[in-house]
Amino acid sequence: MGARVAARRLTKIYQDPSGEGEVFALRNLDLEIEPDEFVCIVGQSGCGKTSFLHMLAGLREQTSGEILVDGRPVKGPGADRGMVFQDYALLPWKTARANVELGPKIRGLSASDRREIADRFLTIVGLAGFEDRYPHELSGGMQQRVGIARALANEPPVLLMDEPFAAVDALTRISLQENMERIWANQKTTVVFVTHSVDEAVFLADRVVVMAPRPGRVDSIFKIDVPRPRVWAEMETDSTFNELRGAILRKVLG
Amino acid sequence: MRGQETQTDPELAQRRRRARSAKLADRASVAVMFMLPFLILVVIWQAVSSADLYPPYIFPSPLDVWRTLVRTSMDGSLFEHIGASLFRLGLGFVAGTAIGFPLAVLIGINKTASRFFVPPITFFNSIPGLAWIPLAILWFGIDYKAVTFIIFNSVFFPVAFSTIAGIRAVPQNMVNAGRTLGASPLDLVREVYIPGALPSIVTGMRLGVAYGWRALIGGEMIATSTGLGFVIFDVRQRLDSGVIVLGMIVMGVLYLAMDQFILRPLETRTIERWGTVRAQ
Repeated sequence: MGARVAARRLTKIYQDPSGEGEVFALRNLDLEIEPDEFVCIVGQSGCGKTSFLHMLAGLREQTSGEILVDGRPVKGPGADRGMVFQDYALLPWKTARANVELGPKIRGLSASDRREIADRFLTIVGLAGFEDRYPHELSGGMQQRVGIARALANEPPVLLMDEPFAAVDALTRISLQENMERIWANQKTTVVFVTHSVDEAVFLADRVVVMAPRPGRVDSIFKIDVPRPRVWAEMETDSTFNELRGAILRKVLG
Repeated sequence: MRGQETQTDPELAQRRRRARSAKLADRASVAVMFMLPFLILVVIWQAVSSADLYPPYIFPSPLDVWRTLVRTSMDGSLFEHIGASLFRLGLGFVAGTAIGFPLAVLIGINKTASRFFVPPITFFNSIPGLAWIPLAILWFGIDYKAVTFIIFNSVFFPVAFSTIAGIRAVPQNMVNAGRTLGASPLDLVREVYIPGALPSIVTGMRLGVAYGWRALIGGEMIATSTGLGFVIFDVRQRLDSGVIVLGMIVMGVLYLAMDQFILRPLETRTIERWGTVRAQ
């Protein structure tokens, strides 16, 4: 008890499509995540980090072991675990506001309540004034801000982020990272954030989990003691940041 | 800035006027090109009948058909038959869509339903609507019900297959987004699947009307005593070819009007809109 998210001996086996062999996407993964903790998971392709996130979301089923959220085993997706997708996954026929309203609408809130919620979260992500735009009228970075606002609008105790900034350009990425750090500071929730970028992981996380492939497992865990709020301009000269970054990079590269 | 705007105002107004007249000219061109092939056909028709190659009861002239149009309009019989045909088409379309659409949604989202329903639907789809006429007459008699049943048959399949394809083409990540927001299967159908599949659904309905229209005329030739199909078939023994040609023209005009003013705009509107919102 106590942990918001707990994975116990979590195992996921895929049949190898080429033959009768089995691939361990995950093997006996144990991990605990505290309430309001920001955890980033990094690792090479095939280490099972995305599989783990999707199982936590309830979008995929494990082969064995269990995942508990607040002590209850995960059985399918639910509004208590919001998700931000790499390709945004916005509904293109809905405006930014209508996309963000979707969670509250599903929960059965009145039209005026959900409009108020949607506009509040769009303001938090920096999109005030863009409420009536359709996704195709927004840049990639702005679309992902809508994606974040949509997930936050349900105020989920757990927020899952699947390489959310991988598809945007480098400068947009920096501003989204700084924005995310501030949003999380104000709207405390448990974040599980999967990324390929060690820089991004160290910049955002309280703890960085390094996973290793074949079989997918936790290799090591780093506590990030860099004080908050964090901004990129200061990271360059922050010795803690740079030491952790180097150490984690060496682990990821194996 | 303000001063500059007022300065260029007359020029701007002129440019706007020019754009508006170009748009009008384009619309006029569309209308002319729409009418032109039909005018040419009528001219050829008149020329052939003026040549007196065939007696009028085999090849009626445009004037004969015009007279038939006036006569049947005056006594109201034309509108009676048009009304009967459109009523059946409407009824068959509503029935085919009311059953085909929800069933297709279920098949599109549920694997078990798909496995259960797709084989029999494919089986019945291979039987042309008109092949049902003998049974339909036995079951429903010579009546609007038999024809409506045949139209239902013609509408059901295109609506169902198009809708299934549309639902299955909805990107999985959009469905997953809905699920992680707490959506129930019914929420997903309402918020993700149906709006995502809308262009395919509208295309299926347009196809349904087209197939239904053909089945309607065919069915009416045999299974009723009213309607456009019945009229053109019924008068063949009386050698009243004016009625036959008029009936065929009315069929073409009615379908063209439905397609031009209802179905096509509906389809282009949804597809164009979805096209732009999808092109990211």
